[in-house]
Amino acid sequence: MAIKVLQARGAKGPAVEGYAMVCPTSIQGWASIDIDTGVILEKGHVHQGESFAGKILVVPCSRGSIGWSGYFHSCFEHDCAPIGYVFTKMDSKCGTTVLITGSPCVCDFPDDCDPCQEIHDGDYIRLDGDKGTVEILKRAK
Amino acid sequence: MSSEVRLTEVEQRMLDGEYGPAKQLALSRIIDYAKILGATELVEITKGHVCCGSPHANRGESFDYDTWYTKRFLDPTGKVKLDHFNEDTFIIDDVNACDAYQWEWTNQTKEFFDGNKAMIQHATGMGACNGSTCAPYLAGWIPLPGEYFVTVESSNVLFCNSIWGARGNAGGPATTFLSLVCGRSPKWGLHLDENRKGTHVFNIQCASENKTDWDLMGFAIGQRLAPNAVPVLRGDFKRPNLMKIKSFFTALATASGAEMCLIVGVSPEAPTYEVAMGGKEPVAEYDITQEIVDEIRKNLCHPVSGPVDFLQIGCPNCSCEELAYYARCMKGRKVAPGVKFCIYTNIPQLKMAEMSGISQSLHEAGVELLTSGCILRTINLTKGAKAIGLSAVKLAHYSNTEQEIPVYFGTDEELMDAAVRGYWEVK
Repeated sequence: MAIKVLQARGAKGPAVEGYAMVCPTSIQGWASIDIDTGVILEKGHVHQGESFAGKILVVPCSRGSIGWSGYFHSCFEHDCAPIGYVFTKMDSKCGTTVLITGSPCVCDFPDDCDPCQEIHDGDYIRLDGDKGTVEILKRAK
Repeated sequence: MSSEVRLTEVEQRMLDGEYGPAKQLALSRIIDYAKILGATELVEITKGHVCCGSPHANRGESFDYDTWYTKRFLDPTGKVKLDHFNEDTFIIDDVNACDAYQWEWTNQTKEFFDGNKAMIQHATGMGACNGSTCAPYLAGWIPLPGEYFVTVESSNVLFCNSIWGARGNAGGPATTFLSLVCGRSPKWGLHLDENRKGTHVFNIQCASENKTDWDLMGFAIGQRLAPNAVPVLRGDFKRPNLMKIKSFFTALATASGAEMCLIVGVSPEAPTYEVAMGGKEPVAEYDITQEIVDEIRKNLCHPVSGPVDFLQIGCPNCSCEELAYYARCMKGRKVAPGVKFCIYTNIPQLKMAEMSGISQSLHEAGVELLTSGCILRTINLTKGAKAIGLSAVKLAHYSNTEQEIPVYFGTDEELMDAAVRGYWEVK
């Protein structure tokens, strides 16, 4: 039973479950990710030093270089990419990331729903890219 | 075939395989991309700017174009062969991880230089032009108002949307490559009139005299932007020229995901504030003060004065106009012994500088002219350096993450002074 269900647009299915990593300022698109481990290198980032491998990444949008998708693509090739993506608003760098990694994605939330606020770091969530829903199944402690 | 994405007759024939398996597969991938974005039709791409050389992340792998691009972006099985880009698209290559003419000054191997060159030659054999630049508009690559383009350079997408009035989205290396194979991109985002109006307003109250002022201003605005925002600049700022505006867009793209910026009185789609906003109220409004940009400048620069032995100008790549200015500044001066000072330009601008005696003047002063990259792209460039001096916000911001040694930031003039003294004086 979900604690809360967020409804948005499904960009790509299928459904996937996992722990959320929430980055309210996104991740910069250059010199910010170790493509061998998925560890965020950006200085001052809320998750600096942590890996997003195997997690569901929750960000408002992309940030910085057009190379943004390239880092996630390389991580995907090295088995250390997120398993799904939640974007507050879709942009073309995010779209390229979803296409090239083939990962499930929910995006384009209504203006009164900010997934970076609603979903907390470490929440266990179910992302359904076909239905466009994000279910918060278990809150982080 | 997609039921959600409407295709023209030509596109349907392409999807049916009439124009070959490479275009067929590329178009099917572009249709998948359209569905992810939420687009329902496609546009024709007539200008493309794409990486063709050895990627930055090349760590000893092969120098085979198809391994790096065709297999990774189009067909992982390797069954579909690509022998030509879309014939109706003018394509120029972006910067590479290696200079176009040399390898020794930049600490690279002959093997890497040759391998990179072979990859670019493979791309030129398929129809791309070898400009190797992050500023393709300085090489004759100029999409006209309303023309659809793709690019892999974040400052270029801003430049083309905001100054040329052309229409494009950022995308990424993979989707840009696919568009250049099939000549199509999803009609979405900044292709559409309704998304080309201002959303966030910035009242410019800081200095706007020189290139560094505009560079810092771009970063300050970028830090305050929401997803998919189109910032509008208004206020009593000094009208920018090409050199200032390309630096501004580079910093703006570094700090945000902005792909269009309307500068009132400068951008063709912003003759007035009212036109720029399209009759809508701003989502948010900000003042950019001198205190804000001074704080950014302070944070970008190593706080303690000290020796510096590597300096770079040229982000984005310099125009011949800029090279002429630097040659005048360095006339009668000499780069300090043991100090490496380089300026990046692109292949056509370098040729013009050579024909005009500008390159020779800079060489006499000890300045090295490089092409096709920057401190972020040319691998091993700063190997052995003890401290770095830069005059571009983008380079300084990213170098502060990448480098373990002190990174100094200042104006072009401060950088040239430091190159002559071998010492950066923090003010």
